[in-house]
Amino acid sequence: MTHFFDTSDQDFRIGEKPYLLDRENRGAIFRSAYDARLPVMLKGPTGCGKSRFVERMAFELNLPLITISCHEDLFASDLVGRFLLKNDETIWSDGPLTRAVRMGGICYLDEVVEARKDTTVVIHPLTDNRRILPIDKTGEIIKAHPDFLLVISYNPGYQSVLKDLKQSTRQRFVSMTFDYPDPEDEATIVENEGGIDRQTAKKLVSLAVKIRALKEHGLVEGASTRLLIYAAALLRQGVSPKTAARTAIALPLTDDDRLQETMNDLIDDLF
Amino acid sequence: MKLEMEQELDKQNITLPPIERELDKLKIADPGTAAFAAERLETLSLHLTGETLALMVHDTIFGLTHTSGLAKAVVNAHLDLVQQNAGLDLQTRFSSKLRQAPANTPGEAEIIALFFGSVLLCRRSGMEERFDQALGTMKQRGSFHSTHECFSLVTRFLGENDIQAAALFLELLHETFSAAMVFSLHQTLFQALPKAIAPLPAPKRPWLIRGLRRMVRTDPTAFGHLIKGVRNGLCFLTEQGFDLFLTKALETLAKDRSRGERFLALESRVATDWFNEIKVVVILDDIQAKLQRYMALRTGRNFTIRPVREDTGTICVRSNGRELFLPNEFDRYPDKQSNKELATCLTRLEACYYEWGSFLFDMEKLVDLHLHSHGASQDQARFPEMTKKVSDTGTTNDMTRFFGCFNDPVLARNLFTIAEHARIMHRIRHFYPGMVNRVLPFLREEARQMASVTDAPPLPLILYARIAMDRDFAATLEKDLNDHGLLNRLDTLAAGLVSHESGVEASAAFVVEAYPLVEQHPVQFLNFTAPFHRNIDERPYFKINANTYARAKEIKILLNKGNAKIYTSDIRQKLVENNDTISLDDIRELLLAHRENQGMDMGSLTAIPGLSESLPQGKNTLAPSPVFGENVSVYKEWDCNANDYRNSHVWVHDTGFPECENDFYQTTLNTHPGLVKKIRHTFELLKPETVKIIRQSLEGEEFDYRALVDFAVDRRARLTPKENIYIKRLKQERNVAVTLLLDQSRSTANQVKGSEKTVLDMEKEAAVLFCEALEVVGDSFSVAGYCGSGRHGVRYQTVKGFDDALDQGVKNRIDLITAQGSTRTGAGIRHAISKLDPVAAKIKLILLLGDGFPNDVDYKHTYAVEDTRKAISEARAKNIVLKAITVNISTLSGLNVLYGEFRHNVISDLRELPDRLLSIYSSLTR
Ligand SMILES: Nc1ncnc2c1ncn2[C@@H]1O[C@H](COP(=O)(O)OP(=O)(O)O)[C@@H](O)[C@H]1O
Ligand SMILES: [Mg+2]
Repeated sequence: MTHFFDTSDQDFRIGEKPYLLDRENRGAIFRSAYDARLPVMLKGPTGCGKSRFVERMAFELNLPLITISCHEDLFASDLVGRFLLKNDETIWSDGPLTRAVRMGGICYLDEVVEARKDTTVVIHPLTDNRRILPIDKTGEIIKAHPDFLLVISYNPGYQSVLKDLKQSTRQRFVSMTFDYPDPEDEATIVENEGGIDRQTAKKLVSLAVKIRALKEHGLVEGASTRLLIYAAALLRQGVSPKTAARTAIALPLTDDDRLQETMNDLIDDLF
Repeated sequence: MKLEMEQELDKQNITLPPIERELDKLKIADPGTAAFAAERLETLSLHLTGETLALMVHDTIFGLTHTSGLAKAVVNAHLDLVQQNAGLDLQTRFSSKLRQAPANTPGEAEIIALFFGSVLLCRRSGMEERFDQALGTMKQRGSFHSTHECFSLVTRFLGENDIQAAALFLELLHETFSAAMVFSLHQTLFQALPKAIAPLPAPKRPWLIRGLRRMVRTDPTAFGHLIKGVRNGLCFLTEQGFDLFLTKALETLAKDRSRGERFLALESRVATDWFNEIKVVVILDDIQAKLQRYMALRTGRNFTIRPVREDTGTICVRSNGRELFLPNEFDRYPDKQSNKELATCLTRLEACYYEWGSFLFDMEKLVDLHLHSHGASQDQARFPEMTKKVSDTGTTNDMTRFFGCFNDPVLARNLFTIAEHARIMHRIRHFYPGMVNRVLPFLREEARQMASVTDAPPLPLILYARIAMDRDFAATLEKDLNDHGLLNRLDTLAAGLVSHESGVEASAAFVVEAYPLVEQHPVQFLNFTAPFHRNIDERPYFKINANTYARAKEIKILLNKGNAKIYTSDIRQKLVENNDTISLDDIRELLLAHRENQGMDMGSLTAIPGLSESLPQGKNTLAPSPVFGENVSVYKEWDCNANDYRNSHVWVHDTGFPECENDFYQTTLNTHPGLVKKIRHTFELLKPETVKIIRQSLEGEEFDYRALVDFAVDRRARLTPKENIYIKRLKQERNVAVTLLLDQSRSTANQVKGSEKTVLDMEKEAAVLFCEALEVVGDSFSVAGYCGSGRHGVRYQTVKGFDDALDQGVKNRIDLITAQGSTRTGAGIRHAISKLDPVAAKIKLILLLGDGFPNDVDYKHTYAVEDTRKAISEARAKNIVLKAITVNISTLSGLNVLYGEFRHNVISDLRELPDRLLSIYSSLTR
């Protein structure tokens, strides 16, 4: 069989060591899961470091990383692959999942619940001890590379969707919970990633911590670490702290004017 | 005749001492009154001269010729005069005024007996004349009762030494009741006038009364409307604002009588708009939601914002961990913005106590960190009492116990306030620099004002300004200070102890060291008042949070028995943060923070007798489950009085419907063919909001190239190719899920204004239209009704579930909804949430259709409204939007409070429904 693409796994290696503040010894747990080749599920709200964690693990384990961001228009064939026509010839082209299965490495299905339901079915045989990927179209059954590891992430914050992830799927993964880091840790992350001084980083974090407590007052999701880093980026561009906090943290969170007003009050206090 | 009797008595009792003799005269006239007088004399322990006593008895006997009530009033009046040292002269004037009252109007004599004394006592010239004039006109027009009410107000003002208001009010009474108007109008005014004036705060009385007089003079017949206006809020204006308003109102009145009258009464739209524009006072009610959210953001806790109960005339702020007390009105500044800012700044300051743990003071920490840390055991010896009390296992909280260690706890408390405010200011400077320049101006102004009322600014206030405000400002107060020694020493002491890093114990350490220094001149420190009366008092806090404290203490003692080191305050903090729960994990974490506990076997924690039992149970512990019926769900309910949820408080019974054939659905469609067509049409238009591309479809407007390639590949491989090679743009899938929630309580059996139909009829017809509309758009939807009878009897009836097709069964059920029970809306919403939450949809919506306000057993007014609001915000937190459509109601503003602005619609006719539904829908999918 001819392969349309012939990529080297070098294309999927992480070149530079991604910055990660490892918390709660997750790195070690992940390594153990990898050693046992157990598929991993990362749970947690958006922007709390799941993707970053996977990048860093791939780097540390010296594995290629293939990330697939799932969306509602993602079909099984988008994962597995399809035939293409080339000069009167039909050529099979591996999808990203298949590629990862063949060459080994981490295949990261980000926000897996966003994908169509039928896509989750194709990953099932990969997650039990068979570790195979059957390809209907070609009749091929690929045995996963010894270094292959499947990692998925999802956000339990969208509770309704949570139930979409069927028990039969969930129960195939070891699961690691992510949450917003402790204030000290988070400040370190914002300081490092955002490239700002610690004092300001701490302030951004204390703003976020307080906003996260506003859930009872109608906020759907709290301010993520990612948003704090955005704010830091704006600050570095010379945007005033108040404006940065407002545009990167308060405004993205809600359209509710009253909640905005309250968050602005606190931003005014802080900066 | 009376005189003869008196002479007779004189002869008989020559030997008695004068008091007994005079009272004996009274005894013969009326033993009851005599006993009353004797008792009053005794309780007041007054010394009366023979003359005064004779005058009193004389007048009392005169009173008895009318009624015994009047006689008693006379006794009281005379004794009042004596008590206030009125002197014989005033008493004689009182006596003669009393006796001038015409015999045929006993009421007049009684008014004089009751109120004239206070007029005499104020000793102002012209007052008596005003009294006479007012009484003169009023006795012709009013009843005794209404006159009484007016004059008791005068007496009240005089009692408060507000002589100006009393004089003005008497003049107003005279002018009002001598003005020409119809009898019935006078009667109304008699009632309304005192009611409008009585609640006015003292500073506003003069100009408001003057304004009322201006009105009476210009247009007495419209006077009543202005009084209504005052009661509707005009008193919230400033003097200038009120003047302006009146001028404008009189202009309107001249042009158009009825418009002018509504303007005066603050009932017209123009008037309220105008009023809101010139109103500078900020009413607590208007800002409390905002302040509450701010407190929640800063402290992570819910505070109820309440008005300070007593009216001290000064601005006074307090809080106790659950409630924040603020003045009901902020009117210090001539503009609204500054008044609002003051309210927010005071809230900002109060939040600091809770954010930075002022009430988490811990005796043991104090000893460990400050009293021992000097290293010397001699330090321990310096405070033996205190160190001993640390191990006290009594129930008194640490703070009260700490202050109790000093000879004068008040002095200690005041020192603590100064140091703790200093610590807080350090923290504000460090953590909230943006706040500094917002709060300081207010603090400075208040302190300046406080300093100005004394000859020399008091030392404690200067110290406060220096360490808890700003030094530059303090310098302005220090000018007249002769001896800076103590001030400097205290300042240095505080600087060494208190910083933005220190805990509340540092403030206590300051007290320990400062107390002996100030003990020599305690008076100033005893009388110290912090700006805005913000002196720290822990007692209300611990009264409200007694349980949390007791629990923490209990856990601590158990752990101490297991030889573990742990601070009560750390346990308390966990409890406060986690809604009164603490887990073994939390405790482990706290224990690990102490070096002393290293090497401790954490696994053995559970073995500590009593510990796991004494851990407070979480909020989510199951309440005894309902005994009957399978389909009962238990919900919490928000108690706005406790500012907390009542867990497992409400039972919702999810019941079905009997089977029953009917053609209500079809009939409704037939009776509103136009509407049905319109709603189908409009919702058809709504469809393509989110165009959904379906690939690998059997039909469609474009090729799906991936599928096309598969097709070609299959053909070449001589397989039967699949023909799903098109892309279809599907409009149906909008990913919206809606619940139509119908209030089916008994009140919906009322008729809609100007219609034959009841509210419920309309709701049911609306439900039909709703089903039609949503069938067209293809959204997933459900329909249900709810009603209540007490917290264990809420019923929820599902007409159509999300998975049900819109079949005949569903259509039949719509007509089976009947009006019954009451309206426990919070529970209805919560149950609807529980059903909508698991549905996978991007946009989730509850449409609440009803006739107005929630109401059930123990579920009324504010409580009901607040719980409903809470349920709505719970929905919002789950990404569920709630919109209300209300049938047949006129008071919009209340609904704003209930559902929030823009979250409700009012309809009075079914024809309005399609448009409302459409606007709700399009705003959602915007
Ligand atoms: N533990 C962490 N160490 C380093 N960076 C982090 C960490 N957690 C979050 N971040 C930062 O936050 C950003 C968002 O995290 P990301 O991994 O994209 O979140 P998620 O995948 O959970 O949505 C990252 O780009 C990174 O800058
Ligand atoms: Mg991610």
